[in-house]
Amino acid sequence: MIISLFFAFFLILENLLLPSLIGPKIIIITQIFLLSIFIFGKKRSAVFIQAGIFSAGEEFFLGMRLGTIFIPIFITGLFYLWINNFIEFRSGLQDSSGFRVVIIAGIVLAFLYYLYSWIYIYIGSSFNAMNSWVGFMNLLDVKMIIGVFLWSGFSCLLWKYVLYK
Amino acid sequence: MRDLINRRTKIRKWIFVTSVAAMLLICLILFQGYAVDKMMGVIGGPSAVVINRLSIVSSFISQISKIRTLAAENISFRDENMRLLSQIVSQVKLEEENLYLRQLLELPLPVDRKRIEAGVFNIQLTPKGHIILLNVGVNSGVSEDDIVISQSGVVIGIVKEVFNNYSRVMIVTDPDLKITVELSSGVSAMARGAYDDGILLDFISQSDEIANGDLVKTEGNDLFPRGLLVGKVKSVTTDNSSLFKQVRVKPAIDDIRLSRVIVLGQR
Repeated sequence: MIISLFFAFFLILENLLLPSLIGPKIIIITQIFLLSIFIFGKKRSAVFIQAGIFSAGEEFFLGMRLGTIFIPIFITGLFYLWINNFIEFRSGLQDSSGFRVVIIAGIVLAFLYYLYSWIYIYIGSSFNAMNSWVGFMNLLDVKMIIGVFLWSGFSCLLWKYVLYK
Repeated sequence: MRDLINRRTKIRKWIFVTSVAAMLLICLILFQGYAVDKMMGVIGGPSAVVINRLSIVSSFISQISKIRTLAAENISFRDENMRLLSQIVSQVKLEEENLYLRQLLELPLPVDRKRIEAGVFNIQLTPKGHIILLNVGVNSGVSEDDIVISQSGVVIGIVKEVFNNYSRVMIVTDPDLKITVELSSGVSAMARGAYDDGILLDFISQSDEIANGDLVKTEGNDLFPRGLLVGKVKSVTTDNSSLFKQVRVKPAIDDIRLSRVIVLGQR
């Protein structure tokens, strides 16, 4: 319930309140929040349902076609959980605490966001690898990387010390 | 004999009554002032009290009627106030409309393009770039590749997707949007979005003279009409090893309110 409230608040904050106050800037809260469900969510099956409902809600709110956000989020989440079969760091990120863990979780989340972005662009540019790569390179700007990392850190702090408790 | 006696008795009665009446009349004439004074003295006190009480009651009744009148007046004043307020609001709206139309008239827009007024209701950043949503769509006559500008003539973006009641607009800071532009120094270039870095200008050779603060306007060689403001040059980096200068532009979109925009239809 509290996660849904946070998500609704971030959705309004990202798409209405902040842009109308500071203009079109790098504000990436909801997608990073959705991805952090995969890192900090307790049950594997539940995270997909939760992320699915939230991403469908976001698509509806943003006037996007169904699946525009959900499919890249789903693939990214699946990739993360698959990777965890080989390198188990999900439980480590969930159970350990401290600044170091927040930083590591932030880096993992930032990496997942870039993976999600590439999949999003790749699907959006009709599976044209070359065009999607050119679009993806635009996201590797220094300001963008700092922005993604800061929002990831914020999301990790929120999940670790507010929602995961 | 008896008749005579009766007549005398009657005459005596009449004389008695007349003399009593005359005496009373004389007394009344003589003691009128005194009697009235006495009578007033007797009834004056209580009647003054009664009159005082009655006057209080009467003033209370008049207060009630006054309150009733005041309440009615208050209601009518409130109505008047509301009417005046609504007039002020409509006047402000008319003034805004007037200003908007004046600004629109001053813009160097081609006359053959239809203009559709629209409102922005969502600004979003997707991995593919910045997008705004407009509250007009196919039903209002919007079509793909229509140009979106502000009422002050600032380029906002281009319509990328149109639905029945809304449309998605790619704005100038989106890397996918490219516009041919002309600087106030006369140099031509290609502008493309760079997210938070604003806009980058491509194809400006090292010999071209550009200064910070130069205005960047549309050249009119593409979908965008000539003379619309894109931004202002923010920084110029000269690197002799490179063929072109690196020019960053602060988009004018950053300094305007994005609530109300104009969609310029195709010819």
